[in-house]
Order: sequence, then C-alpha cells, then structure tokens
Amino acid sequence: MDERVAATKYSDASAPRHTSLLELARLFLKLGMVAFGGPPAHIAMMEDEVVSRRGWLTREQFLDFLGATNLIPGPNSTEMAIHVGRVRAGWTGLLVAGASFILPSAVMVTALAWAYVRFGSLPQVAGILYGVKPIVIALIVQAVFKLAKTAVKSTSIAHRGRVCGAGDGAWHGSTCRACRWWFVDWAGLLAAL
Amino acid sequence: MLAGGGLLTGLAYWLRSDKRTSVKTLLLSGSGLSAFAAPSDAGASFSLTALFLVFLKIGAILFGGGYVLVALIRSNLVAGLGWISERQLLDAIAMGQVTPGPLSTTATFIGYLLGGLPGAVIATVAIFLPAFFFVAISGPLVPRLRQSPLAGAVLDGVNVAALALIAVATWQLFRSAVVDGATLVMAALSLFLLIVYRVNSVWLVVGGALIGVGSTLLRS
Repeated sequence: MDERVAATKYSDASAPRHTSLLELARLFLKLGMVAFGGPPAHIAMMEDEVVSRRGWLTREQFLDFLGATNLIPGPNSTEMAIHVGRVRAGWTGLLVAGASFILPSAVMVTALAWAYVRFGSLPQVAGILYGVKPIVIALIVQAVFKLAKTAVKSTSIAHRGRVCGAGDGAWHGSTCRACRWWFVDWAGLLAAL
Repeated sequence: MLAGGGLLTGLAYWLRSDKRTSVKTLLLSGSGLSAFAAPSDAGASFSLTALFLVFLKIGAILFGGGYVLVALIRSNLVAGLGWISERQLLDAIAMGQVTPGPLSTTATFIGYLLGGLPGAVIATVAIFLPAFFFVAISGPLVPRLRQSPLAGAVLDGVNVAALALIAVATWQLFRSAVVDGATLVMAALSLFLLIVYRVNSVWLVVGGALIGVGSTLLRS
C-alpha cells in the first residue's frame, strides 16, 4: 500500500517520458542564459519554472531532489537541472537538460576568455550585476519561502506519523545508508567551515 | 576530501552492483580511479589529457559550491601544477560569477587560457561529467528513500538543511546586492511584482541587467 502511494507520487520510474527533449532544451537554455546570481538564484528560478508554472514536479519532489544534490558532490543547481531532465525524459533528458543549462554559460565564458587572451584585460561587464542582484534577491526570498512551507509541513508530518525525525535518525546511523550520507554531508560541511 | 572519497567508494559499490552495460561501468569507474592518480604528479607539463583529469577530479570531489571551487582550483592548478597564476585564477572566478549559469564554467575559462578552444571544451566536459554521473546514480534512489519512513524522515532533515544553506547564502548576496536606495527599491519592487502579478522571473532578470548596463553607461 505504502509502495503504491509512493509509486503514484513518483511516477518517473514507471513512465519517464512526459516532456519532449525540445521543451527541456528550450527551458534550460533559457535558464542558462538568464540565471545570474549563483546556485540559490538558479534553484529559485527552476522552482518557478518547473514547479509553479509547468507542474513538471511537485514541490515535494523538487525539495527531495534539492536535498539529494546536497548529498552528492558537484554543482547543486546544475544537478537540479539534470534531475529534472531525468525525471521528465529519462536518460536522454538527463543529458539534454544538463547540457542545455551549461551551454550558454560555457559559450559566454569562452568568448570572454578569447577577449581576455586577445586584449589582456577583462571586459567591463560587472555593471550588469548591479542591476541583476537585487532582482535575484527577490526571486530567492520568494522561492525559499514557498519551499520552506513545504519542507516544514512534511517534517512535522513525519514527526507525527512516527517518532523519527532527523535527529533520531542519528541512532540508526549504522543501519541505514542514507543516514551515513547524512553524516558524510555534515562532516563535509563542518570540514568546509 | 574525506567526504568525497567516502562517496566515491560508495559509488564504486553501486557501480559494481549495477547490472547495466558493463562497458559503461568499466569506463566510468576507470576514469574515476585515474582522476585520483592525477594530482600526484605535481609540476607536470601541460597536456589536454592532464587538463581533463584534473578537472574531472575537481568535479568529482566538489562539495558546497563557490569557495570550495576556488580552493580546489588553487591547490591543484596554482600551487600544485603551477599552470596558472593567482591573478589568472581570480580573473577566471570573476568571469564564472559575472556570467549567468553555473559557476563551474570557471573551468571553461581556465581551459581556454591553457589550451585554446579544445582546452575550453575539455575542461568544461571534465568538470561537469561527474555531476551527470552522480545524478544518474542517485536520482533513482530518491523515490526509494521516500518509501522508507526512516530514510524519508532523514531526507526531510536534509531538505531543511539545504534550505537553511540557501538562506545563509541569500543573506550574503543581499549584503552585496542592496548597496544603495536604488537597489533596495528594485528588490522590493520585483518582490511585489513576483507575488502580486506573478511576473516571469526571466523578464525581471533581463530588466535588471538592462538597468545595470544603463547605470554603468550613465556613470562613465
């Protein structure tokens, strides 16, 4: 019964092809071109496009993948794009979404690097960030607020259902692979600090 | 480093237990191992293969974003191999930040400096390849974690922590973004437009970029 509920909530395993590769490429090329401001901004814009506007993932699914990207190495926002591509269109979607998100930035940086080598200095592009950063702040604040409501809700449900929160998970650390990941992550975080 | 290593061994286990095409498995695990052998030959002369392996390694152990990326590139390419100068590193990071999209395209810039267009392509592919690999492995596990009440509860905790990390990063960004009255008005106005009129974020960002360029031109 539980498995059935979970299977309908995460229908990606049974029927992965919901979104055409062209649609995936179009969205993530667009995001790759306008997603200024680092990973939090990318996450905020992806939430807006993928969850709020297109309904490709539920907010719960989006949040779970966001958590999962924190448990594996690599750039988190790019990994979110790859997750979305995989869930919506399988293996080819994984490649298309990820490559589409990276490509605009890679092309721009290559052009800037060409100018840097050719002229020996950096082009004056910092002015763009003066105007973009305040906008990005608003985007992130809004997205974090929406995601936090979902996160807190699901956490309190877990607490009510059975006495097993994140802290209690510590006691089962040796028996559960996910718990060990959790420790690895926090160990990594502490080491980074 | 330890966390990355632990995860790699864990992933190696997953690879072996995976019953997919064995050729792909061999290829992926082989490249992962050789990447770890790469940094030992410090001061090695530049080659595209070495460039690929260094950025593959950085992509495979990169945890926690911006500052870690700078530290990894510095220890590997500035101090370790001596391929680029500190100044070039800082310029590369600046370019990764000023362009939209992932910060890791800093690797693209360094790749171009070292090996021209082929270098840029190879460095980009190398630093992002592990991300595709890790997502391909971990993605199918996420719904399975949800099926277990215990693992699901742990995931809830991780999700809250991930949001807390974003909130901290947002505060840092806020202090560097809202520097005068105009930027404060822009932040407040865009929040209003987002919530009340659900304006598409893309248009807001494009508008912000135009205002930024315009104000720079007016000042100069």
